[in-house]
Amino acid sequence: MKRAASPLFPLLLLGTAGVFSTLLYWIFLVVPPAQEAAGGLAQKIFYFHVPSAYAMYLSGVACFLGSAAYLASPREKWNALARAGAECACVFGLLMLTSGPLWAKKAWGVYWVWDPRLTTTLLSVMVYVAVVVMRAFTGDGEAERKFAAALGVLGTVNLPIIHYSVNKWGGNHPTVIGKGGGGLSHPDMKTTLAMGFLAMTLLALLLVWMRARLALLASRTAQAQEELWALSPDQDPT
Amino acid sequence: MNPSSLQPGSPPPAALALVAGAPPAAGTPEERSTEFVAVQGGTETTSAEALLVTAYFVMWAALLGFVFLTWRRQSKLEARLEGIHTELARLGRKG
Repeated sequence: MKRAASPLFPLLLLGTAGVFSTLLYWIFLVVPPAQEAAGGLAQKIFYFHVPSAYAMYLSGVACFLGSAAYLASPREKWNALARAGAECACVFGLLMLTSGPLWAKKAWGVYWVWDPRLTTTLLSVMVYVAVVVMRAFTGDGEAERKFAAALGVLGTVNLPIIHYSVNKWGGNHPTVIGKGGGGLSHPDMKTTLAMGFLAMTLLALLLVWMRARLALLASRTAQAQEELWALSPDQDPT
Repeated sequence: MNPSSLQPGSPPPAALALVAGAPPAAGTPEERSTEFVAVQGGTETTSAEALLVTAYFVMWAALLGFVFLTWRRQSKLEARLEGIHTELARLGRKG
């Protein structure tokens, strides 16, 4: 029995596709490249890299809210949100950790340095990977769910540390936006970055929604399977 | 031919040897590199275009892969759930 999808979902899907198409047009055809020391043409990775980091924060917050709510009041919907948030944080973290080094190769001459922001980001992504791997391989019992939720809460505690690490401990990572940063000199750069943030916000919402729906569906399937076994124990468990 | 005597635009010695039908002269052991030393402070030569395209390709491939895996798992689960509901309805009729 299929549950009717929310009418908001196709709207969100269309909106995300539209904003992403416009963003790609602006990145490749409108916005000028930055100075050579910032990577020249490779600096255009910035318009996807920074919003990916922001989307990881958003997914991390979703994981935190779902996890904390599940620990306080264990319900399927909170577990689904915690699970979806951790999975999406991994994906956005992966996007950030692949795009950043490619840009760094041009701007710094190396793919990776053990800079405070890079190191704390890697640690945070590894915590979310640990949550996802744990949920995938240790079953879906109450104890496993609570342990994953606790890890999800702890993983999100690291996010503010990443954000403020550049200001606190220095390092190679640029501080263009925010406190102490010189900002973006060209108006098109500001527009493109704003569009990047909007696109990634929509994408994060869409993916968290999709994965949460999937987690709820998996849970409903497992419950139905148990009902079937109770009625007919000789049923094939696959 | 002494390489230092070459004028800009003149062909390299190996090309001249091939034109004359003679085998290209191998460099003497003294002329070959015996060690590679890292250049300090050298400029970055990786193509920015290649890095940009690689970054966007990897990011889109990862995103589309994730969406595809989600869609495939959802389809499988929906089919499985429908099968279970059908089976439950059949058992309910029997009982």
